[in-house]
Amino acid sequence: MRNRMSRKTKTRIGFGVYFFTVLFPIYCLPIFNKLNVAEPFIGPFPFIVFVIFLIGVLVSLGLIVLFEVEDRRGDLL
Amino acid sequence: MNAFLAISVVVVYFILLIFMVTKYGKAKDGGIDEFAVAGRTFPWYMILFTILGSWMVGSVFIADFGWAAMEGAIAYYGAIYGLTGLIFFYYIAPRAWLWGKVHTLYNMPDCVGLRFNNKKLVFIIALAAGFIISWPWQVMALMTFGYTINVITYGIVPIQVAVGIFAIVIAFYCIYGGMRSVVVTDFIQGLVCCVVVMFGVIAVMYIKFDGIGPMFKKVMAVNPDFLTVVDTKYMVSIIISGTLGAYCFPEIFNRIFLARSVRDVKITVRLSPIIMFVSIFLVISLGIGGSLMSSITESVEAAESGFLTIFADAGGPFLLAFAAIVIIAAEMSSIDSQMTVMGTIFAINIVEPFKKGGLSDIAKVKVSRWFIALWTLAMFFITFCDLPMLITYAIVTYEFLSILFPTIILSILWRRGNASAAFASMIVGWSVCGSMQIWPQVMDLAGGWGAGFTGAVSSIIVYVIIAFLTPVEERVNKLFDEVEAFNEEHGFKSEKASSV
Repeated sequence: MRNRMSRKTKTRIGFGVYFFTVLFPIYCLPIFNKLNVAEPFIGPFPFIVFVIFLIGVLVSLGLIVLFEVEDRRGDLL
Repeated sequence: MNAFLAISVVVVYFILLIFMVTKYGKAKDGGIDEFAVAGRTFPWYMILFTILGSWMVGSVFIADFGWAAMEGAIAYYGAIYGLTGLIFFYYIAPRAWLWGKVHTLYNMPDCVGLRFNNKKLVFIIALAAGFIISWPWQVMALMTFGYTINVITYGIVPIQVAVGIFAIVIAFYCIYGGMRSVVVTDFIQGLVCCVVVMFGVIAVMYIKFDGIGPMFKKVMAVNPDFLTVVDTKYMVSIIISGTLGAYCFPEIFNRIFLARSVRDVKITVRLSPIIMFVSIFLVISLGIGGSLMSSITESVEAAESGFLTIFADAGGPFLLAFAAIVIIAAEMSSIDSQMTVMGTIFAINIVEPFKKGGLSDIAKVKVSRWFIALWTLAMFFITFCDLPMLITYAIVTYEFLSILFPTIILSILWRRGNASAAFASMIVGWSVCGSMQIWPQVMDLAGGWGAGFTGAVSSIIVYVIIAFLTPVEERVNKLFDEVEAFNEEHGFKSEKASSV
């Protein structure tokens, strides 16, 4: 068990990569600095505020999907 | 008349809380299992609001709102680090919950003790995370309550009287029902400060600025700089150190042990990230809108009471009382769990190791209750002191807390790493963080990154290096393997989840 990665571990690492990718624009300063502008507005939000909002929604959705996948497979523990 | 309305609303809210505590929050028995983790019986919706309550602390409505009004978009940092904190929560929850159930763990130092089998390490973690780092937050919570009541009663109720009432209410239900009454009240507090607040904030945005879009357009016309992040490096730094430190707070970690099953812990992510994120996002957006009001931006103090000011301006004493209830709920939901968890840590991890023959179950509860009473009294008296550096001290303690990340969180996710790695990571991390606090010029060597961030990264590097250089302990292997064994033995499937 210790030598082979289980399906559960692979799923968790996969979603970990997803979360890292979604959050990367904030953690990577060159990208963050480029996104750090007020215009154009997207919907009611200034650009960077929209980016933060989008990241929040994508992370939240990622956690929901991860839970649903694990729950369906019986891999919650 | 206005003060009477505000006082009435707060009194009704307190009566509701006390009713809920006496009806649903009474401890089922006199044992420590009931007092510390409420018998591990709570379903997901109770865990959900207790998690939300612990994230939505009063400082979101005071300090962060004020920061948004004075400096703009940088104050969104809390929404992001709340999310990343919940990711860690999801990943550590299964193992921590199972170890808690199988090995009868009551708090975070217990978990560290199980993982590292080192009493000195447990004692240091209990002392540092449980007491040294927690007290400024409790003093601030008490002072915030006193200040809020003083504002909404237009100065009729003195700050110290309000602080005293608040301390008595908190101590009463923490002592009365332990963690069960904390969770029951947090259900209401979380509902108020995370869900109900969203409707209030949106309503104020429409009343004051004709909606969220027009509000941002007005800010764009007057303060365009507020719609970008003033210092991106600093924002990233506090997001990362905040994320690393979040689950090192014992009361936040303790939530994992309260659930009746691991499914009840994890199912909360269907709602907790989105509710928490949207609530903070809206509050900070309103704070940015508050930058348009001169009554809020005239001083830092005015900005920090801006949440109350803007609600009063939009809807008079009724909305002012509403805003006050939100702040009170946020403060209560964090301070009550802190007090109760500290009480159990004091009994189990501080007193018991020095008592020959240990403490009985009943004695542990007794010690916890006495501790809560005396500690609340001590915090109450500290609020009388002049503490101009309290907020700075609280922020510094948070930075020191994030250095415990490898010892507390990484050790649950990874079987490598022993007590030597934990001690070395703490020594190096605290030394780096402390040096940068004392000599800020050292920050230049770290490329301008903050003390908490640099200290935490140093501690992680040291922990990982030593973990790779030392063999995995067989005892730790067994601990990690028992999760899989438990899974196979119980055939953990979603339809059977509630029984596991």
